[in-house]
Amino acid sequence: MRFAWKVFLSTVIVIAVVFAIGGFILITSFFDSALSRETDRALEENQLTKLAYESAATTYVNQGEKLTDEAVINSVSSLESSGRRGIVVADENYETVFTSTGEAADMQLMAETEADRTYRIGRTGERYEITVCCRTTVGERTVYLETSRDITSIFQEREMQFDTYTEWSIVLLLLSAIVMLAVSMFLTRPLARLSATTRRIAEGDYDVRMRVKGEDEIAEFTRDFNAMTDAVQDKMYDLENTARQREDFVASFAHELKTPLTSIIGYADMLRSKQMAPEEMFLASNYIFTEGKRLEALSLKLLELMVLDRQEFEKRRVNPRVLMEEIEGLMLPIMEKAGLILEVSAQNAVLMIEPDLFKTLLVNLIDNARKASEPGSTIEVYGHVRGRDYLFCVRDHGRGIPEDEIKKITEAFYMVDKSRARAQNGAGLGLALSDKIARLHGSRLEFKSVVGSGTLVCIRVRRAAGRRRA
Amino acid sequence: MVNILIVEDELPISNLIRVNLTEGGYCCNVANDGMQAADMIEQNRYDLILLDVMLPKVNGYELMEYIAPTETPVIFITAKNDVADRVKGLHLGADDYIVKPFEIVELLARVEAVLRRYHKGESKLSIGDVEVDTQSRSVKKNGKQIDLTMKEYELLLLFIRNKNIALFRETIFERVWQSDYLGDTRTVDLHVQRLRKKLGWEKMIVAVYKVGYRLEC
Repeated sequence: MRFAWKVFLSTVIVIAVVFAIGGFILITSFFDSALSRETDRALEENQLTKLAYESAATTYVNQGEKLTDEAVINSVSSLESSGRRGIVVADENYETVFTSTGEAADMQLMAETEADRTYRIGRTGERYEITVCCRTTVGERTVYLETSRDITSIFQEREMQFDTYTEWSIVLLLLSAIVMLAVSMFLTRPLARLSATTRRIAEGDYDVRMRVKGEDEIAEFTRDFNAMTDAVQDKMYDLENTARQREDFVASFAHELKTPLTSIIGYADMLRSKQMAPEEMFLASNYIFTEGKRLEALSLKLLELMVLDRQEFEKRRVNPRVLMEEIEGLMLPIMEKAGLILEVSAQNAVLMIEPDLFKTLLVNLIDNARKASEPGSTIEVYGHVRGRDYLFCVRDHGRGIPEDEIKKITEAFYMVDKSRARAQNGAGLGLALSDKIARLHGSRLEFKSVVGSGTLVCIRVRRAAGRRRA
Repeated sequence: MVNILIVEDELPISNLIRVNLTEGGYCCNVANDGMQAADMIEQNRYDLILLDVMLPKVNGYELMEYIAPTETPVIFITAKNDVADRVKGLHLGADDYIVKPFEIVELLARVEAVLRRYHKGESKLSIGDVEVDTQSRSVKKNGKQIDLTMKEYELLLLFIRNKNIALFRETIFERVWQSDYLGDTRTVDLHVQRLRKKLGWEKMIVAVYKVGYRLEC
């Protein structure tokens, strides 16, 4: 059953029950007060009748007459005014002496009547009467005096009220049902919308969001729901991205591996199965050699990359100036061979780093700078203290990196200029490796580059706390 | 002459393909990237295009869409060996694919097969006094019909298409019998003997010591 129907039905049932109980109590209390008013009046009437009878009877007694049945009847009959009042008189033996209604005296009522008045509400056919009984003794004669009063009207009134009330309740109930139906539909409409949205998301349309209206619980829920969808979507994009990167890695790896293999296998196949001219043989074996070298470079880099994933590294206190001097010694011959000028400067400091890895990182960066530079240009390598940090920078004045490529250059196998990288035996793994090393030191590579005028790469490493006294 | 365009950015590989196809009697042109290939396809008509998938500038799949309207047969050369990639290439209208690394015999066989499908290869091959008509599958020596079994015929074609190349027994077995070589040399040897005898080619099909056979002419 729909939620709107549940709300609607339960409200309607509650309204119906409240109407019924409320109406019943109201009408009953009206009736009760009307009845007690009639009862009071009946008792009063009885009292008046009694007093009237007593005064009439006393007159008889004072005149010295004996109070016979006839005398009693005489004194009473004058009280029965125009038949609106029913009077029955009975003697002490409960024998009816006088009756104005044609009914006999009520035995039981008389029996209950000792000193005080008693009354009873009786029903004859469609009529309701209240009968009040009292005992009075005048001149040694005791009579029971019963007066009755017609109260059919208040019963009829009650029936009528019930009928009217029922009619109106049904009308009101129908009206309120219609209103409630509209209200419950209106209140649950956001839920329907929410469920429609959820369905759309489940069908794969992840960009759908709910509009948030108002400040109630549903609005709050909608907001939370949207937040959840955002989070799920983000997570999904992350996963997709990771999956894409992995796929790219596998594809690139296959390509990088299979390209030299194709040449090696192909030329080797030619050599073993063909009679070839010496210069052709030289060309073929040279291809096998260079492609084999390329495969070697690839496998070494890949191995380093994998080892970095596995191994735990021990960081030591290192003075970056010493490190830089070592690197200078290492790179200077290579730079001179390439016709480049290497400028190295470093400030003293203490860093917690793994020196061999850091050397690999800096050598990689310098090597990249070398590949990007034309002979005669300068490559600057410097290390500065920057507050709590130490900053390593490598600046070249080479070709630079286009802005949209910068984000991708640390991805494995990514090469900005593929054919040039190939010619320089690059596998596209150098920066992936460097970035990984930087991350192991809680840092990352920061690139600033202008196409045509050069690139600046920086790594920021937190300096170690002051040396403890040993 | 059959014109073949080789689209491959790796110089060693494009050179490898070019040298072997040229020796196989095809006329070859080489394009180093997708843009250059598109230009060349626009200017010339080719009977077959060998297309690398990973190319700089315009990749092989994109180039395929450009080639499709010209109805030139295409063989993809790809390093990816998964089914999705191969299916993608074939869906785009490629006729065949070669997975890197490949052997020269395989390359020649696939090129040959695709050309045959398009009736672009030469249907009549002749070596010395033997003529082979690949359409009617008939072999004649000095105009006289020679009856060969299925395998013998396949073997003959393999030799002719790879003349002057030493064919390894395993290669022969894999090509002709289309199943993996499990070291049984006698099947190959037996069929080579029968072929030699039927064609009188005892001198032309030479045994290469410890390797296999070579057709010399």
